[in-house]
Amino acid sequence: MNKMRIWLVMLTGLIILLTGCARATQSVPTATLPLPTQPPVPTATAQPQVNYCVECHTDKDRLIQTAKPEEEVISESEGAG
Amino acid sequence: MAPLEPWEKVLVSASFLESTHGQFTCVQCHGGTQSPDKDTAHTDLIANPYTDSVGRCDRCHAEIMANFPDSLHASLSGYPVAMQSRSVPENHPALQEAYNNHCSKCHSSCTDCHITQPQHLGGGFLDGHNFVKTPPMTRTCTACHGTRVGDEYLGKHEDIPGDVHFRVGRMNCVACHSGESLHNTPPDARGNRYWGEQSPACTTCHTTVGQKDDPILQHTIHGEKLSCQVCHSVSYTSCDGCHVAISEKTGLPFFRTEATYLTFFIGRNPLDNENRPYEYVPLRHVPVAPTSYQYYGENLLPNFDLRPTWMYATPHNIQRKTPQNQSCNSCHGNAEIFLTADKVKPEELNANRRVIVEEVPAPIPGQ
Repeated sequence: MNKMRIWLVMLTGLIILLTGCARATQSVPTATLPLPTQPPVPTATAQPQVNYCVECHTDKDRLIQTAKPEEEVISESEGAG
Repeated sequence: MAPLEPWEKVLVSASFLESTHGQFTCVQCHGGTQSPDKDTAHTDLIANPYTDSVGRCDRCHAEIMANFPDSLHASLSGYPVAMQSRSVPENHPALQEAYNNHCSKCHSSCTDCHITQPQHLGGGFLDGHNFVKTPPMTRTCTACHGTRVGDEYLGKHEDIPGDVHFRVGRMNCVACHSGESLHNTPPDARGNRYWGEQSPACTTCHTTVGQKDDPILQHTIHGEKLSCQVCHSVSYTSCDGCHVAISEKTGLPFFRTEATYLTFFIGRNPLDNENRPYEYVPLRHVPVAPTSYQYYGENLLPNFDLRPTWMYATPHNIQRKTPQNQSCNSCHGNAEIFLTADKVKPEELNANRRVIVEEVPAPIPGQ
């Protein structure tokens, strides 16, 4: 009976030992992940709205075409101001 | 410079779009609407965001904007003070109307110096809407301060040299007039720019003047009896008789100045002011007349005689050597360069009694 107990305890210890080794083996990485060599590519999003103000006010030819001619105001002022 | 073409006034440069201010969207400052149609896009447009009080200047430049509205550049408070001090309270509404129609346009906002030319030159971007930190002298400063500062400083009067600080020193306006002084007028100077502490003062740079180690004897002899300009300025512009009215033809305000001429007259200091304790200063005739505002009502300046028409002046045509500092008797005993009663219009004698020199300093024997 005592021998049985000794064998049972030894068997239990062996199981615990093997289980612990198995866990330890699982946590060790087997290989490192490759580092990215290129910057991430931006994901395409919706096109920005057209900025009509900038589009017109940076276009010299368009401004020349659309600018209202200024009325010449003949001042009646005389002398130094 | 020639006025800009209409398209040129509003052409935005690519560099503006990359600048800090270019990071705002257009409508954030100018209102309006994003539309390909010009009229729709310009609906409710705010051409000058600062003027229309929806500006964003104060969001980043709060320190400057805290005092700028009270500065003389923004408030022009010297004008109403000068008008009202020759009048009575019951005339103030009529004078206010005249001021609004004829004087208030000279008010300057952030944009008038840092983005565009002054409106009376037709406006338009200085540099493709870029914000110009130091306003260009001839396109902004002297575009407004032309007749009595710019022309003198730049030497535009025949036979009268420009100011030595420009001719030799190549100094622009901000070399002396700091941004701080242009943006902020101390409370005691808001009714008269010659009231607060002298800023700039000649002695800020010319530190030895009047001190123990000053090699020029005349500086220590005259001390604070004379302003620097008495000895170091030459003939400058005076004007007479500005009258204002509204045109019957166009409905637009206009002015007429009777005369503009060059003088150099030393008179008694009209200011009772510890910051300017001089006994003698150069005097300039200002273009006011008892009837200057009569279009807006009869006798609007009943207290005309309470304020001189020959006023404290700081001509911007400084020279090291001038006709009056050639020798002691170039000035002493030389009645021609003093404002004596015979040089004042009879109807203005009473107004100028405080500044007229009754007794010209006597010649110095042996000199």
